[in-house]
Formats: sequence, C-alpha cells, structure tokens
Amino acid sequence: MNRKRIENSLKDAVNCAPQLPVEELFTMPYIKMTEHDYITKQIETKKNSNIRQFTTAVACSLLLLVLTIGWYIQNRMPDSIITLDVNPSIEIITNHKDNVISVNALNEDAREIIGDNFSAKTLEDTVELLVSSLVEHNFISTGKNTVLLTVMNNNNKKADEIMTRMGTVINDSLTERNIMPVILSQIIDEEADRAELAKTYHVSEGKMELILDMISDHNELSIDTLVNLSMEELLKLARHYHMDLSKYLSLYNNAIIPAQEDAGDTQKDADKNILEDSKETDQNDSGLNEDNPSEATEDSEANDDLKEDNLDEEDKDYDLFEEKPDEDVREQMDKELDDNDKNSDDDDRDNDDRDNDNPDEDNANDGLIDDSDEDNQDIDKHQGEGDREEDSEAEPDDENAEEEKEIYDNGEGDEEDRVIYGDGEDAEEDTEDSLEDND
Amino acid sequence: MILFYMVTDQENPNQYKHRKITVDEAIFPRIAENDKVAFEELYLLTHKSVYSFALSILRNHDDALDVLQETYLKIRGAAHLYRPMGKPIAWIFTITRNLAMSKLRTVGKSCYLNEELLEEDLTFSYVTDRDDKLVLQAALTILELEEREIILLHAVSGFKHREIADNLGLSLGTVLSKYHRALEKLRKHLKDRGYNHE
Repeated sequence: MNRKRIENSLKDAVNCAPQLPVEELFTMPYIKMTEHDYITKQIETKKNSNIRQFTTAVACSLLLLVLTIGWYIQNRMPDSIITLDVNPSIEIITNHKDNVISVNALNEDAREIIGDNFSAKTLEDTVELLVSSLVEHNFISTGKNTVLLTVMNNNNKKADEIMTRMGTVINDSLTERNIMPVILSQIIDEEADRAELAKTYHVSEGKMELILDMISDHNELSIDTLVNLSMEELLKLARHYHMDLSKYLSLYNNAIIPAQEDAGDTQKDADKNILEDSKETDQNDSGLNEDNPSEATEDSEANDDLKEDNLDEEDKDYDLFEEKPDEDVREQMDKELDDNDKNSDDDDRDNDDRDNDNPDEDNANDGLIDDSDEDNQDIDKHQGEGDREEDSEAEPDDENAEEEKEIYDNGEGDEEDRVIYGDGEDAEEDTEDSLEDND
Repeated sequence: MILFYMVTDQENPNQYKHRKITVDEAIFPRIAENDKVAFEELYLLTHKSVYSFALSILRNHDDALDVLQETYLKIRGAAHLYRPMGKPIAWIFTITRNLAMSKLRTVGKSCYLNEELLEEDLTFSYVTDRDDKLVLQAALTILELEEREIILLHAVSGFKHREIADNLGLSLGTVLSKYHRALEKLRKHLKDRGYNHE
C-alpha cells in the first residue's frame, strides 16, 4: 500500500467523523479570561531561538576573532627588523620570539640571493643561510668582505643583543670559509624620512643611514653617487675622506677580534690585503706618498682614535683596524721610513717595540712621525711606559740615541745591541729590528 | 469502480487536494469582539486539523470531539489576549494539546493497549469504508504519539513537513524521520494483515 493510499484512507476516515455545528458552538458559553493560563499560554516561537542562535554565532565569531588577533600578535607582528648590506640589501623581519616572519629583497641582487623559496625559522639559521648564499654568489669573498648589519627594535637592549648574536653568526660563517669579514654594525630607530629615502633608492634603511652619515660632512658627496656603491666601496671612500666610522665598529671590536686572533696566518693575509688596498687607494687618490716621503703611509697599526681632523696628512694613512701588522709589512715600512727620515724610523721602531710588548695597547701612533704636531701628545698616552713621544723632534730621539749609545759604550748591551727597555721576551725581536735599522 | 468513486465524490471533487490553511492573526481581535463571521471562518478553516490532532493524542472519537469544542471556547475566551507571533495555528494546536493532555490525566491513558481491543471498539463505526477504518485503527494502534500527530496532520490537513515542525515545535529532521517511519510501520502492518490495495 503506497503512501498516498494510506493518507487518503486516513483522511477519509477522519472526514467521516461527525463534527460540531459551528452555530451551536458559537452559542455555547465561554469564560473570557483576564490572562493566559497554562492552556492558552503562548510559547516562544523559533524566531526567538533564532535570535539565540544568532547571538551564539556572533559570540563564537568574536571569540575566533580575538584568538586570531592574539595569534597574530604573538607570531606575525613584526618586532625587529634586521638588514644585511653587502651590495645586495636584504631585510629580515622577526616577531618577538625572534622567529622569522619574512625575508625581503630590497634590490635586484638580493632577489638572486633569496631565490624563490627561502624558508628558515630561526633568525640564526636565516642569517647563516643568507651569508652562505652571498658567498656562493660571490658577493662576499676574500677581497669583498665588508658587511653592514643594521638592527631596528624599540627595545635598545634587545637590539643590542640581536646585533651581537648576528655579528657572531656572520663572523663564524665567513671565517669557516676562510674569509675574514669586516662587519660594520649599527642600531637605528624608526625614521619616516629616512625610510622614505631608502624606499625611493631601493636600499635598506641601514645603508641609507650610513650614506647620510657620510654626506653630512662632505658636500661633494650625494646620495645618488653613493647609493649604488657596495659596502666595500663605501668603506674605501670613507677611509679616503677620513670619516669617523668608529660607531660602526663597536661590534667588530668586541666580537670579532677574539675570532680573528685565532685565525693565525689567514688573519695576517687578510690584514695584508686590507692594507694593500688602503695603500693602493691612497696612492691613487692623493699621491701623498710620492710628495711627502716622510709620511708614514704604510703604517699598518690601527688607530683607536679615528678623529683625524687634527692630524697631518702623513698621519692619516693608517689602517682603520686595530690588528697588528704582520712583520713583512712592518719591515717594509721601516725600510721606507729609514730612507726618508732616520728619526722617524727610530720612532717607528720604538713604537713597534711597544706594540710587541703590549699587543693589546692602542698602537695608533706608530708611524706618526711629525714631531711638530701637538696632538701627538694624545697619541703618546697610548704608548707604553718609557716611550714618551715629545713635541720637539730632536729631544726624544736624541735621548734614545744617547741612551743606546751609552749602553753600547758601557758594554751593557749584548752583541746584538739588545735594547734594554721592553720585555725580555721581545728583546730578540727588537734586536732584529735594531740590526736592520742600523744597517 | 472509478465511475462510482467519482459519483460519490461529486460533492467534494477535490477531496484529496489540500487547500493551504492560512490563518490571519488579525482574526483574533475580531473574534474577541464577538464577531460570529470571524469565528465561523476560523472554525471552518481549522476544525478538521484540530480534530485529527486531538484524535492522534486521545485515540478516541468522543474525547477528541470534547477537546475540539473546548479548544474553540478557549479561543473565544483568550482571543483578546493573543499576541501576534507569526504562528496562529501553532497557538491553536498548543491549546488543543494542553486540553488533550489534561483530559488524558483526568480519564487515564487510553485503554487501547492492544489491537484486539481497538478492533472491538465501535467508536469508529461512523467510518463507512472498511479499509479506511482499518488504516485509521492501525495508525492509532501501532504508531507512537508524535508519529500519529505527524501522519494525521499531514494526511488530513495537508500541512507540509516544515509547517508541522513549526506548529508542533519540532525540528524538520524529526518530523521527516518520524513521518517516514510511521509510513513504514503502517505498510508493514497492513501487509501482514493481507491488505495490499495500491
């Protein structure tokens, strides 16, 4: 029996039932109620429950929104911006947990570094991968080893900590590849104008900060001339203009020197390269060596005081870094100076001696021969006891010469004309230098 | 046979064609004002549905008729208290259900606990067609309360499943599943009884 038949049977059966006549029903007495009772009470319709469902749906949506916002703040909200500039400019954005949110290429070369599918979670891994990629693509090599590391974070303490960590990562990564890096580093604040400029010129804010710093005191320089230079070239230019880059070197001084000290011969080769480049740059740029042979242009000792305004030309040609020059270079320097000025040679020798005695001292004044320069007194402070550079040209030299002569005359010196002052350990070395100078 | 059927159904040529039952809520204020026309209009529109609903609960013709009468008297007494909520038929069914439940409590549950007693009951003697009577008795005997309510309302009043759900306060899924279950039960029962009319 189908559905329709069943229903029709039911309907027919019900329709057969006798019904009340409506007229009779209308005449029946009824009670006019004053209020609903349990029989006539109107029940809430589903419309109200719809409102309840809607309210529940809205509450769930709001909860989901809050959770999403919370997740975003925890994981996707930028906290630090770290940029690496070699010539490629790369920007790394991290959250407050130092997990990488995004890695962005700020110029065309950087896109080559990052590639299509760059993914690394931690900041350390990201920086290491980027450095590897920079080396593979030959943007960093033995001859091109300058990196600018910039950190932006509202919390200076955290920014400093990130800068130190990343500097170490970069250094370790490059030294493993026998590349001695020169790491310039800085912490900068958000600045809308600089950000705008950086965006316009397709460089990082860190590089723009350096460029602005460089042109601030040199009207002949402009953003357009500097913006396309690599960090290597900018550094050379800075040296040429004798700019104060000390604020960029703090990380290097603190974090890199221990690693470089362990580098041994590799470090010395790197130093030699830097110095040779510097020499070459100076020769090409100014020709000072030719005109003023008395200048200590080949002094390889680093000068801690990079403020060079008060120094004469011949005093300015020194390396920016504090590493000790290797012996070959020093010998060469000594020879050249010896040809030009005997007193200058003596001073160099004296200064060299002290460097050997106290390698951690500031040895900035080696080769600063110009006795007439009053500022040599400041430099003198960094020298060891017993080595006081005097104002007048003749007196300290004469005194030293006399002292030596006295020693020789008295036979107190040994056969190799040992220099008495300084540590005994270095006496041999000093003696060798003395012998060469006296030849 | 078909001709005979058509003759007997001359008075109601559209007997099996349901008219959509639509009650305007504005009728209640008129009933409250003792408008006879409005009352008759409401009665003629809804009394079959109210009776079948009461019958599905009470399973007794006389009791169902009593509840039918009380329902419309209650409507007359509470028409002025009615708040428009968009479902006037649901309100009428609520009154009918409450009255039927109250009557059940008063007279006790239906004594038709088994088919044999139901078959012997002459209450449905007014049903002239044996098959119709058989089907009605089967529906009132083997089906559960909600199944009876749903299938009778669907068959007699022509309410759609969604309207039944709204009027009885049930979900559409419940109404659909109970309706089909009820039909299956009836088919099986009637088949077992040798009733295979298609």
